[in-house]
Amino acid sequence: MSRGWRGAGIAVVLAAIVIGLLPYLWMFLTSFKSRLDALSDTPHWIFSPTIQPYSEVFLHKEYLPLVWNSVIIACGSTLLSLVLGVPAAYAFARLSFKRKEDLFFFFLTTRMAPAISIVVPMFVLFNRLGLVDTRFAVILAHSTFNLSLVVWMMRGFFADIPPEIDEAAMLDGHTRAGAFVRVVLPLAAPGVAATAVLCFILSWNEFLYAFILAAFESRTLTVGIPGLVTPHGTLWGQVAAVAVVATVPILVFTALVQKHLVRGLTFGAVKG
Amino acid sequence: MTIAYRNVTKTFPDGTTALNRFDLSFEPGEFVVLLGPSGCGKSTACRILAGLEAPTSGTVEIGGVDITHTPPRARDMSMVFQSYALYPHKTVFENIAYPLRVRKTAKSEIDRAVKEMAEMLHIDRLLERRPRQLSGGEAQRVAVARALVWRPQICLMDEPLSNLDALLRLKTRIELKRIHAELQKTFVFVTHDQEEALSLGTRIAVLNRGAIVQFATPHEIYHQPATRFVAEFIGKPAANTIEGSIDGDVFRAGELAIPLAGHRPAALAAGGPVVLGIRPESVEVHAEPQPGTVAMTVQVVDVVPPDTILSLICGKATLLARLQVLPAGVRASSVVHVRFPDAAVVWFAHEGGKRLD
Repeated sequence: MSRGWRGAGIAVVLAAIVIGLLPYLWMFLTSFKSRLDALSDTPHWIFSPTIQPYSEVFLHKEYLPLVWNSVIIACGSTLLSLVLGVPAAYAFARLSFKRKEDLFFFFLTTRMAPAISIVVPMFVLFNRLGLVDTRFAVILAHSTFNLSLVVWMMRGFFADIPPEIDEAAMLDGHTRAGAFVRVVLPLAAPGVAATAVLCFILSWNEFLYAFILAAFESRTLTVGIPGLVTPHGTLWGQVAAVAVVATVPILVFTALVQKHLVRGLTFGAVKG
Repeated sequence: MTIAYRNVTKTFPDGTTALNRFDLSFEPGEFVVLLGPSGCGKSTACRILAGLEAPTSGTVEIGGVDITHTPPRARDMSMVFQSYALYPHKTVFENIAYPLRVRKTAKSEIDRAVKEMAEMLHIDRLLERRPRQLSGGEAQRVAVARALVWRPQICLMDEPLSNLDALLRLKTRIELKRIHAELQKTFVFVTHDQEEALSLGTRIAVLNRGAIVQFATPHEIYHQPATRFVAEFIGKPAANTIEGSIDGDVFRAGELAIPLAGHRPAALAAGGPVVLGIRPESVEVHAEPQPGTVAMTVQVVDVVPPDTILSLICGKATLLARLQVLPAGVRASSVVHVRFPDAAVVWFAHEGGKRLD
């Protein structure tokens, strides 16, 4: 009985892995296909690989700066959200003030409105400020959703550190801020890393804000992909090449903080 | 440099009042114990002295200087927490050295001070370990070392022994006494364990419902409890109290009638309702009737070597007697004859429980 269930469980997991990974594998293979192979009616598993899609899109079409845009925007938004959100989360975890839980809930509500309803007013606003088609505009836009994520996740991590640690640090000679920066923050470092990775990924993958606010000079990799859909047909090899490059940092970062990532997310869910 | 709480009240946002017009002052070098049942405000009092909590009203003073709003780091105080609160990412050495590092002490001096403190607490072989590799007793010593290494004027300890097993608690208690004698600093120690308080304190402040009930030496607390509450809180087992009334030369509590021979408080000259208090070890138990004894029935014989504790009953009045020698033939349900030695009896007011002299 239990062995049977175990077998069934493994089968389900395997199926999930195959279903999940197959598109990636196919994308990976496509990125090394010539145009003919990519468009062929019968899918080819075996073909003569070429790096032509990569050189075509990144060198001739000059998509390389888009990688740079994506990196700056994702890093910038992550950094901004952490700088503002981590101290806020600490305050939520440690201090008691009026209407604390209401304010905390407010951070969550900032994620409830669909992006499409905010992006147009945001465009008008940034247009007035002369920020349209700048990386800074996209960094700010992405921080609107990343900030609430930081506050929500980091509160759980800080709550997990006993408050006596801060108090001991204050009696050992620190100010409250000093205790936070010198003692509590190092202890919460795994949580900060996990949160940072999640922020990075969300910003890196984001399409709508980036597309509306910065469609030209400062566009990101994700925004660049529709540019490969030409009147003469979609350049599938090049789309796949961009997608493969876009996947790399996410894979690396997720692998690095995987353990803490899962913990941080369940905190939000269980402890709230 | 008297350390003083002046009329301190602390009400938490949820409405609970932890301290209510709390007044206490003591001198440097004392080992002051704040003793009371859970929820009596003793920890809050400790945290207010440390600056970790701000009083709702009232002040805290040291040497006449108001430090109510001085931040913890500037109070020349350290604290040992019940959970020890060691820094999990630092070695034992770095934990102990930390207050010195924050205060920018010279490296060579840090080395010397940490080693000296570690030797004093017998943890010098643990210096390279991390807190999670320590036993409870070891972690407790590290916490004490960290609190004392920079020689603060006052060391606060919030139930530091509660997480240790009974044997270790006793050992550590003796260690703490030694360290206090050696360093001659002021110790403020919070506990709910009256035995710990009696053993450690030069003076004990007994708290109940956020106020001081009695602040006195252990001897006074034990032998001259200020109120019925103190009497019922201190001792192992605690003092017996019997509600009754004085009627002529007899104290009556239901069927129990104790003849009164000698001195009795002036307030009771006319008789009236009163509470009689007596320590279990002061109760005399005889197998045969003697002048001035009253008959009571043995309910339970509880042998706690080397002593025996008898639960006695007469009508509704119950009494515990702690005896070093059990009179021959006494067992459960036998009738014994009990004397309440005059010098050992204390009287408390029926209303309010104040001791009557």
